[in-house]
Amino acid sequence: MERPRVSNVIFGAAISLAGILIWFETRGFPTLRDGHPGPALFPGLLSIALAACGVAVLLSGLYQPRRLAAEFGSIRVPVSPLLRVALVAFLGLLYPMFHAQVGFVPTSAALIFGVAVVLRANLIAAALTTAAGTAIIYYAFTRLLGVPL
Amino acid sequence: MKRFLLVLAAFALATAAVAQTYPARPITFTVPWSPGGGTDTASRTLAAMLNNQLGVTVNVVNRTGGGGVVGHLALAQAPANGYTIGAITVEITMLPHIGQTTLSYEDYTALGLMINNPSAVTVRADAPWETLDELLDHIRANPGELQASGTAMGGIWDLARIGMLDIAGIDPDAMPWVPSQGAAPAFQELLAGGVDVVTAALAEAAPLMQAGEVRVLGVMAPERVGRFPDIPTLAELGIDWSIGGWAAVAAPAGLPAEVRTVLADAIEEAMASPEFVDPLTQAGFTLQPMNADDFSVFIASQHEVNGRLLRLAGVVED
Amino acid sequence: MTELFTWPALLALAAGGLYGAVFGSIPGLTATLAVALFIPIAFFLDPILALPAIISISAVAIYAGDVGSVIAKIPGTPASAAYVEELHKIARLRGPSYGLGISAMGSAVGGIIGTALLIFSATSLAAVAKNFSSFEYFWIAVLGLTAGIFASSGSSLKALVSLLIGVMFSTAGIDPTLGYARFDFGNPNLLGGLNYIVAMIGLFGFSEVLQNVFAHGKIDTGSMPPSKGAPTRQFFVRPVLLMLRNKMLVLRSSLIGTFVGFLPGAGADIGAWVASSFEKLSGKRGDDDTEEDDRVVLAGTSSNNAAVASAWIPALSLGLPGDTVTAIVLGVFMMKGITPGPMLFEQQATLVWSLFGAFLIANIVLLPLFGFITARIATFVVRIPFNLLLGVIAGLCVVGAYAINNNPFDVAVMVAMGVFAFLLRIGGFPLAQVVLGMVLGPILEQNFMVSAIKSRWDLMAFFDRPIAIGLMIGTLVVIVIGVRIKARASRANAPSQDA
Repeated sequence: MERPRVSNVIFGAAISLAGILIWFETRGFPTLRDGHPGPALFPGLLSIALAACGVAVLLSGLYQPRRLAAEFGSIRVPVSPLLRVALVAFLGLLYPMFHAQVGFVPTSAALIFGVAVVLRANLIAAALTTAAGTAIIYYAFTRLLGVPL
Repeated sequence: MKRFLLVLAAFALATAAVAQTYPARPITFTVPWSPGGGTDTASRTLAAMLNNQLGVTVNVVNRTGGGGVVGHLALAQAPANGYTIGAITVEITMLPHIGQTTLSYEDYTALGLMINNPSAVTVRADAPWETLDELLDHIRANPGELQASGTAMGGIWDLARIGMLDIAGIDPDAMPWVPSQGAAPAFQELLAGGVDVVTAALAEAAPLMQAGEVRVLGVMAPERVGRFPDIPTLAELGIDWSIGGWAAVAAPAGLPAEVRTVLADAIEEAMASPEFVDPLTQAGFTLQPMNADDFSVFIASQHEVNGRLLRLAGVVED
Repeated sequence: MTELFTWPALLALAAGGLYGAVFGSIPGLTATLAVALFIPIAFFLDPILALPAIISISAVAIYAGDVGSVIAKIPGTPASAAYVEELHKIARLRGPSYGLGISAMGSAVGGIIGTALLIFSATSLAAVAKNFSSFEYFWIAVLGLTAGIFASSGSSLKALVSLLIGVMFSTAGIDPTLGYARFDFGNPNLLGGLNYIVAMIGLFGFSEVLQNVFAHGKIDTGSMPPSKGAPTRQFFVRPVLLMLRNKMLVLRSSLIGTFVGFLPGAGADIGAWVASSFEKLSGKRGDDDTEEDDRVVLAGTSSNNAAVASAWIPALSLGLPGDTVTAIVLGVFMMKGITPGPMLFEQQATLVWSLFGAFLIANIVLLPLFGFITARIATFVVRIPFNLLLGVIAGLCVVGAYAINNNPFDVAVMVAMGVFAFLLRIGGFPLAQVVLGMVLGPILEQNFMVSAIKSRWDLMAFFDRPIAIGLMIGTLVVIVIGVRIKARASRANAPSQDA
């Protein structure tokens, strides 16, 4: 966001690449009985459109190459914020991974507590919120709404 | 090894003990389709009655997604101890032929058939055909002119069309299929003049028929449907063909015989009672209660018939 | 109508409203699910109790979908995704009471206008709906998608990319022509495609959590300002004054909602997007105009609720259900031996008038009442420090995604969507367009394919029918206006322009 040119170059390239990969994937789809395109038609057209739009985004970043170079030079990958994001995403996956073994309560508690700690909340407040949040969610969904967690 | 045998023995004993006192704890009833649909409504009605008969709570859980595959898979993979039973639907006799799942009816212990909604041949109210014969004659004389719809290509209502035309001695391609996402969009197309015939469930055509928008020429049921005594069956019209979208109760394969007996008896009794029959019939469903043994035969024949029709549809290659 | 003014009927109406408010406010629980879970009860109740309850459930639940937008930027319905950014911004700047006030008051008026049209022109509107075949549906999806491109405040190119990504997501799963499984990677959970409600929870809710974690809570640390002034003034008086200043806007949006909403299918969503992008395109009215966002929300929310009423038109007069809610309504009709169709209005006059009455009570009394209660609760919730609240929001995202299909796999999809949306935000790509693409993508593809197969691949058939041509011209008008306004806007702030 602060370096729109660099991000446009990277995102533009990634979108085009994704478009091209999807296009190749759609070549394996069957056609209708009369030979007209069927399942491949929409994903195929979309992948071409995505690839084209990706190129346009990329070009908008390449515009004014000197400023692009300057921005590239000032780039620092924000390692620890990204690690925090990865940690929270992992905590979110605890439920689908371990629901069969441990159920909802521990995975949800780990997520709520983890997010609060990462956001530097007071530990006692975080623990209380975790207990209350998990209890309320669990009660509301299993008892009131009949969702089997 | 000794320890393994010991565990095995303990397990066997435990199973036997469980079987004697079955059911001792709440039962989960899985439904592979969303709340609000026919399978869900029938399942919830049945579960409420099993609740009273078996004396334990029967919890209905909708395991939806994947075009029904997710829920069917969840039931097939559950432990075969009688504490997980669920609904299975006509799709289980179709999906394995298309190759979308390795599951088939053999992965289940059949417990009973609940509803079987027959297909109805439906045309617009202002259509020129007053009888099924007139419609079929038109198709014979002008192959490829009329188009039909009702569900996806190779879906149950497409099979209804293929079976009807095949038995009437007409090439199914003489009235090609236009795919739709279910019955309601197909009826929308019918009203807008986009297609000429819809072969979806009678229950879905009924409100439109009552509103005077469509005409039902025949129903693909073994006998006339109670609420619509004026609509002839195809067999009466000389085409020995019936098909429906059904929903049944099953358990995972390998259910112990004692448990199966307890469940099958309870289900058969529940399905015969007016508390089950009346609300579902009034809601427009066609009941075809079948006990566990009859249903086992029925589902095997469905597997064969639907496989043959799917090959005729060209969805499955030989 | 008198049958409605009995204690049991009014109680059913009020209970339905409360139930709808709870369901709508929780991410992952939708109006449809609320009504579906009500069926076993509905079938045993007298229709004079069951149908009003269904009406108040759906009317209040659609409004309550905005509560999530206010608290945590999680829209409850695809329709509220159209204006989620604006609504959340309003709530941050001026308090949740005012934000939800616009939403509730706009919904109420939209609902009343929709009901009025339902009362006076149901039969003639149904005749129009009857003429909609796959060609018209195709064009209306094109129109909705086009409105989405220009509805973003940033670059139209990036909005287009987001839209394409959304439509691409929608192609996963069983294809509409052959039933071929696309992009399923051998996983049965993907056969049915990606659920857009699951995606929406991830795209908006979970990505918001990730965004804050990334910034270490620096962006949105502060809790929202307590509402200035008395809550009743914030919730009732100021939104009503806003509507009085923008009478034509409310009327126009409600009409758009009604006319798009009666189409069986995704009418309500398309209506909200078209109405609010209209407002986004008209932009600021002069330099001292600070109500731009308020108008966008007002437009979206009023068209949204107008569509709730008009969705009943095809069900009542043709017997054709447009969505799960009206399908259930028809089920109740069948059970009680009530015949839908044009004659319904004569044969069952008492019932029909009770339904209209229920719509009016739900919109005039219940929506403001439960809206006010939810706004008070929301005001309390947003006072919780944001770094504690975010964890609970993350937990709600997980459980909400699970609750839709009771499938743990959906939680993984939700998290993946959250991470993906986090990346999109870094790149400056809007998120709401992804949801719009996912909702309209299947309508676009399905109806294109059906039309092509039906016309035996004679593509000129797309330009054959009068309504289809009208919709096509409408799309072109949106493109021309949109491009001109965007060009003017980019000239105006050319120096600081960001591609």
